[in-house]
Amino acid sequence: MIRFQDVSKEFSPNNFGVKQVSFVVDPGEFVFVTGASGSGKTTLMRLIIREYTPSSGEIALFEQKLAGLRQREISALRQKIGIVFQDYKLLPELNVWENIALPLEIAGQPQTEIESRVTDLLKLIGLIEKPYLFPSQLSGGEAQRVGIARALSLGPKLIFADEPTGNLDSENTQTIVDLLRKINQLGTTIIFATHDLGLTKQEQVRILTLDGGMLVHDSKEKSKQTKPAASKNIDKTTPKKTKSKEEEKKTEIKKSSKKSDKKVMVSEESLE
Amino acid sequence: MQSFANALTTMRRTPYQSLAALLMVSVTFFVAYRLSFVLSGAHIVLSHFETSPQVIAFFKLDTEKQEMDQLAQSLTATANVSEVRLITQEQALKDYAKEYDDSPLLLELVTADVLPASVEVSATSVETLTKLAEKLRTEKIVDDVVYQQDIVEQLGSWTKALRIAGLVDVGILSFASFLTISIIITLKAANKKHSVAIMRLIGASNWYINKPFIIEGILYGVLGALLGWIAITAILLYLTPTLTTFFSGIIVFPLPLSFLLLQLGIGVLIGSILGGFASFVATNRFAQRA
Repeated sequence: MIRFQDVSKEFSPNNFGVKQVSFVVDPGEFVFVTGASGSGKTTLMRLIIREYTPSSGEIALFEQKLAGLRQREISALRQKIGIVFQDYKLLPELNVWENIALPLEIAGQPQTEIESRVTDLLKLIGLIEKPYLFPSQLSGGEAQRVGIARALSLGPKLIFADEPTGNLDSENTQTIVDLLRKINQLGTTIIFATHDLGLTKQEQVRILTLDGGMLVHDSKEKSKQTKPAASKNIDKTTPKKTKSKEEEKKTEIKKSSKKSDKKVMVSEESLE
Repeated sequence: MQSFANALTTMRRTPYQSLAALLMVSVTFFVAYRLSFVLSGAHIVLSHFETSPQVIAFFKLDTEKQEMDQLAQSLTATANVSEVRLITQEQALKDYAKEYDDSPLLLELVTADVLPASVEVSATSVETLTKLAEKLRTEKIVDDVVYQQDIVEQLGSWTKALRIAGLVDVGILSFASFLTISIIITLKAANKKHSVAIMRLIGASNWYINKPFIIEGILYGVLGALLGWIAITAILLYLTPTLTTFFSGIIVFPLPLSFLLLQLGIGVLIGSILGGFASFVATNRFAQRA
C-alpha cells in the first residue's frame, strides 16, 4: 500500500525532514510512527499526501508513484487518504455535519448519499445529537472525533493520524485510539503518528521509530529477524497470537465489510 | 448550487466589502448606460439632420413659377439627389399659418406676397449638397441659400468627442471596478486562507476552492449592471416629459422597452464577464501566493 524507498527530504543544506527512509506498509496494517518532536513524523505525512516532494528517493502509494503527479491527480490521491490532524483542522465556519460532509461534497457525491453517510458517521463517533454545533462549541475529544469522521467520510483505504491525541486528556486519548482500532479492524490501514510511547506499549502493533529524520527502528523488521521461520502472511500483518473467539468475530466483520461498498459506514451497533 | 449559496453567504457576512464592490460596479454601469443613451440619441439627431431637407434655396419674390419648376427639374436630374420639394408662396403661407396658429395678430400681418417661395433639396451625401449649394447660389432667381452642412458637421464632431470622452470614462471606471472586485475577492480569499489550506489537504481541487469566489465576482458584476440599469431607467422615465418636448419630432419618448431590455441584457453579460474575470485573476494570484 505504501512504499518508501530511500526517501529524503532536505529543506536546506544538511537540514533534513526525513533522511534515507525506507519501509513498506501492507493493506490492513496498524502502524505506530513514534519519535520525539521534530523527528520527522509530520514530514512523513506531508510526503505521503504529496504536500512535499522528496528531495531523493521514491514513494509509491496504492501502487502509484507519487513523483510527477499533476495537481488534479494529487487532489484525487488525497481523497483516497483520510488525514487526522493534531489540531483537528476543522473548518470553523462549518458545523459538525458540514465538516463531515465536506470531503463528500468535494468528491461530488449526491446529496442523498451525503446525508446517509454523515448520519452513519455521526453515530459511529457518538455525536448524532450534536450535528449543528460549530467546532468552537465542541470539546477537544469531540472535535477530534469529528476530524476522524471527516477522514472516514470517503471510505479511505488509508488513514494517517498525525498526533491525533496530542491535545487530549488520557480518557479522550483512549477513546480515539479505540475508535481507530475499530476502524482498522474493518480493513482500513492506519498510520498513527505519536510521541506518546505509552500508547504503543498498550498495543500489539507495528512500530516505526524516527529519530532526527531517520528510521531507527521497525518492529516488523525486528520481528522478521527474530522469527525467520514465521510465515509471510503473519509478517504482513500485525503480530498475532492464536486467534481468540473475539478476534475471529472481528475478522469476520472485517471480511464482510470488505465486500460492502460502504465498508466504513457500518453502524455503531455492528462495531459493538 | 452549493457554491452559489456559499457566495451569497460570504457576501452577507462581509456587507461593507460587498457594498463597496456593488456600488463601484453600479456606478460604472450607470455611466455606461448613460453614455449609451446619449450616443444613441446623438445618432438619431444626427440622422434626423442628415435625412431632413439639407439645402433650402429661397427664390426672389418676383420669380416666375415656370422658372422655379425648371430649376426644380434640373435639381431632380442631378445625381445623388434624393428629394426635391418646391414650396410656393401659397404653401409657405399655409406652413406659416400652421406654425403660428396661436398668434392671430402675426397671421393678420402676413400675406403670401411677402413670403418667398423656396426649394428644399435632400441628397445622399454631404459632397453633393456642397456642390448643390454652390450651384444654387449662382442662380439669378435665388435670393438666399440655407445650408445645414455646418450644423451636421458640428453635431458629428460633438458626437465623436462625446463618444471618445465617454468611452475613456467608462474604460477608467471599468478598470476601477475590476480592481475593486479583484481586491475584495483577494481579501476574502485571504480571510479563508486557513479553510482553503484544509480543503486542499483533504483533496479539494483548485476549481472547487475557487468556484465560490468566482461566482461571487460574477454576482457583483451582474447585480451592479442591474442596479445601474434600474437607476438610469428610473431617471430616464422621470425626465421623459422634458425630453419629449426637447426632442419633439426627432426622438420618440418613452423609449421602446425592447431597447431598454437589450441594454440590460448586454450590461448583465458584460458585468458577468467583468466580475468573473476579476475574481478569476484574484483567485489565481491568491493561489500563487499561497
